[in-house]
Amino acid sequence: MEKKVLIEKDKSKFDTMEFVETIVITKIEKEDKDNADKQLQEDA
Amino acid sequence: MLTNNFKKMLKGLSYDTYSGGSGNNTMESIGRLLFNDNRTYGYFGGSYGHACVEVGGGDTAPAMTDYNLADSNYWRSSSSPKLTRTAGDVITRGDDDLISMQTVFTNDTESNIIVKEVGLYANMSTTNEAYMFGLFARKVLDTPVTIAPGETYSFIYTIKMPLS
Repeated sequence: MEKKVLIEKDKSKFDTMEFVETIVITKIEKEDKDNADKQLQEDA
Repeated sequence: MLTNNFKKMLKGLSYDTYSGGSGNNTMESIGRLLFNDNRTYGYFGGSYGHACVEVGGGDTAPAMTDYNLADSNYWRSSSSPKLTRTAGDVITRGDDDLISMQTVFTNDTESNIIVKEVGLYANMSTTNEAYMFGLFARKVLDTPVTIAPGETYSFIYTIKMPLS
């Protein structure tokens, strides 16, 4: 089960253009990581 | 904070080809490839135009003139990386997202690693991720994240250009 631990936002502005930056940090439990590793190996 | 490298990349969007236009600056070329072309993976060993998330332990305030994370000690591209990338870098786009980049790291050391800053880098080498020095966005976390030995964390850095 993934556990979202942090969401942070920031803004940058160039002239009239505005950009919003978002960072999402999620903890990945071992079972999910093992499945992802297996999928990576199958895709390789 | 988006850096001066990001501005150069935006300039490259108007080019017809990656090496076209009047500038032919490397970051401009990468901008064209990264934001305009159909790149779906931050894959190294290919060509220009890929990107990845990097994390570090520095907490100096971001500035547009930043060209690296304040502390690159955690980098996978360092000579002795403390964090291992355990999944491919993935780029996605949608609606008003300019780019969203995900990288997954595992702490394979026996000590806690405290992540205080997150950055987006463009790959400026076709063959070696150690030359991936094109930082174009950097955020110092308000709340540092501690990665314990054996733990795995996903970092997603999204840049949106809201449409009004």
